[in-house]
Amino acid sequence: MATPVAAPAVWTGQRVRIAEVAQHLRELRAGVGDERSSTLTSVMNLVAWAPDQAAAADVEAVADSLRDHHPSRAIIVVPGDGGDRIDAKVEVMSSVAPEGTRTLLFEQIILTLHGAIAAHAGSAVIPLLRSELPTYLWWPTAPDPSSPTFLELVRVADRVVTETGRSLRGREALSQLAAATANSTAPVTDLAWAVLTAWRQVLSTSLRGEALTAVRAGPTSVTITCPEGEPALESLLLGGWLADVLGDHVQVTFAQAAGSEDILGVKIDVHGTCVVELVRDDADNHVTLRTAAGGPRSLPLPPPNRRELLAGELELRGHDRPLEHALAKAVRF
Amino acid sequence: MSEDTSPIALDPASRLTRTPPPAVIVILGASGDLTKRKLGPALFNLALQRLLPPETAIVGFARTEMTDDEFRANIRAGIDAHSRVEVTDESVWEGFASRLRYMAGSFDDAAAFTRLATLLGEIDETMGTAGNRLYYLATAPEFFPLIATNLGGAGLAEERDGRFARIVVEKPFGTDLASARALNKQLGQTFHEQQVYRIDHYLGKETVQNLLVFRFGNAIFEPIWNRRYVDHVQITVSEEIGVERRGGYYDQNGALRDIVQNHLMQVLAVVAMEPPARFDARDVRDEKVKLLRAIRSFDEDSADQWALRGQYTAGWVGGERAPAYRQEQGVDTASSTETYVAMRLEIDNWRWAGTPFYLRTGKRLPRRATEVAIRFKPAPHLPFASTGVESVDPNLLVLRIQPDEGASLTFVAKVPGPQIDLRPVNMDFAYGTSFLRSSPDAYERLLLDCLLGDATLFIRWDEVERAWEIMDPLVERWKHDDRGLALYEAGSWGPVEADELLAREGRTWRRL
Repeated sequence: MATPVAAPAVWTGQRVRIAEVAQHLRELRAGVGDERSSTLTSVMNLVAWAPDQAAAADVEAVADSLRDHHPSRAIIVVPGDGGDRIDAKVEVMSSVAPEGTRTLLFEQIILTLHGAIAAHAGSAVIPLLRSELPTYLWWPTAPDPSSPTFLELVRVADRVVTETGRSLRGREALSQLAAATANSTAPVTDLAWAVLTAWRQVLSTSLRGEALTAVRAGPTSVTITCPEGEPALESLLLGGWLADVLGDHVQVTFAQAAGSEDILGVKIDVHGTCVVELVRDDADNHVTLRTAAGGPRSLPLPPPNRRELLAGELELRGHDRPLEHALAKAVRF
Repeated sequence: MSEDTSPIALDPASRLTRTPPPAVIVILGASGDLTKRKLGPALFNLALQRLLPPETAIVGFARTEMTDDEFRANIRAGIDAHSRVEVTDESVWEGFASRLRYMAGSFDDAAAFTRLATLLGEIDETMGTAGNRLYYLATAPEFFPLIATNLGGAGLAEERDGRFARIVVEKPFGTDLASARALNKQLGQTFHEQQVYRIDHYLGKETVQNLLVFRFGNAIFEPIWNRRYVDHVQITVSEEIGVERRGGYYDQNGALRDIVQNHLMQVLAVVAMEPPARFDARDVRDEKVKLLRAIRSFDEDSADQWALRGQYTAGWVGGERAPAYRQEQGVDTASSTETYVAMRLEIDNWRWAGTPFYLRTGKRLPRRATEVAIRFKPAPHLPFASTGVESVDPNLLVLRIQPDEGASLTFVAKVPGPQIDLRPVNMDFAYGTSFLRSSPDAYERLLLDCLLGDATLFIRWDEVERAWEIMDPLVERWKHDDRGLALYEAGSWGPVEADELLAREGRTWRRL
């Protein structure tokens, strides 16, 4: 873990031009560091959208916590409520690398775009990107193809990470994500999909050999247990993924039970006989696994951590085909 | 430059600073923008670094009536606004200012040039400038022949008894092959070729010079710098600004004449030429000309197929509204002048046969950037099929000319963890972090070279002529092209037709 050397070098300005922001970034970068050689350690441009000032602090904190895993030039875009103008805050932070011989520099820019400029956010962001690095857009809410800001920021991105579940639920969230994935110029992924990685991991290691052959031969039913109400996006995506990897013959249904998490359990039956069952235990972050071969076994299922989920999604550059296939199946439910 | 004429002939192998002999630098058109923004600051910075001998004098010549002190105040204002180094010691400025003189005169008034000759003679006597002259034509190109003729008529073009008389001209060198030849002929009636210094300020940029060092000073790149390893090359000059106050000039010229025929062709030549035997004016320029001769000229078919021109409409750039080109000040409201050009060139030689070079330039693009991007061929076989890795981005070498000057090489690396996940990573060199000393402005380097008599970074006539030979059919075709301009929104990366030009061969423009 890198250790901060000193307080960040900061510049703030109101009613600024983007060229000024770039100039101040260069100047801060040149002025920061110590006698060790300074290394700018970015591996990506991370463009993050904060829907309002309150969310900006949260987004900033998460972006900041990604520094060690994904050092980036972070550009946080926030809509303002004034007339056409740009306010900016530029920070260059320096830390000593773990081996203690180099000073690492990190850059962060917060752009508050007021008035009509927010709808043309891409034009403000592009001049600040490091052109040799890939650009990731973190859009911490549902993708919104009717939002000019969303479309503008997608235009500059090589990959988009959304958090659809933070503003939409269930099938509405699914159809919005599916539409965004199908129509986007950049590959799209969502943290709801990242949440499923642990579930998919357990299911993949449990279903193998004869059990997998039997499930694929069918007739197979999959029951995903969710809290009361409409199934969450995560549940729908898990159903879509299972339908994709097990085959079109699989019957996916959603059952309801008392609980607070989005997915409470998964059960796979062949000819009415249970082959695999996972039941979530809310109390101690574990799932109980039962298979035709035996059980029960208690397996850890840590609660989703937003920073870690995001970090994981930022590791992939291109299309996430399993997600795209799962979406295609899930929209049929 | 031969050894015996070197300013450091006594010990040419040493690292002594090259200081030119004393001279009078005459700026014709000294009341204009170029003098204020570039020439004044460049000369001051050279003086500040003691790269000019203390006897150097600078004479401004223009139609505007002005006293010496008013001229000095103009130069000082330019330095304060545009110099890369601030004036911190007023005594240095005072010393520099004392060597500035001004004379009002019209370029078509032969008598004014006779008076100029008298003034220069006086300066030789009083300041010790030894009869050496450097004439910098900071004027519109239509005045070049007239000025050259009047300089000759006043006896100011003669070189004798070891004294030099050099003339510096800025692009555009003509508007097509015929006009370029005519201009050269007119200049040649007064000045010999070796007296003429055609300036393309791109060649004065450290990063363009570094292209030569990068290629020929690093043995690892040259073996892969050819058609066997390079898939294609993209050279981009992207500007976020519009025509600013140059609307009238720009509308008569357009992007092809303003950028492609000169800057882009020069950068292309440096990127693709063969290694020169020596880094001197003759060898470097010989190699550039050989390369330019190997570029396939356009004809009517290839002009239609592999080149396109565009013009910007209203949009947003840098978070600000940008007007359409035809609404810019000084531009004809029905103008058909191009503000964007994209083209594909082929070089018919052993090194580059079959390797496309894509060139593009435009105004009101999303950001200012000049770069050379060399895309290498993909790995012939990927042994990662069982790991979910569908494809791997081919290696990319980007040489950034401005801004953020430097170079980066992109390759793929394994993301730490138990799986085989690959991600592109960069090895990056940035001038700003590797060298704490700021780079001199291009004009500083070029003015110094000119005073030193080193023409390596100036354009020889045969380079100009060949570049026009390549472009002339395109100019002709576009004169009679009834397909119109491809329009693009200000703030976009250019017309969709430009994307299609590369898409036809399965490629895309690099997003900068």
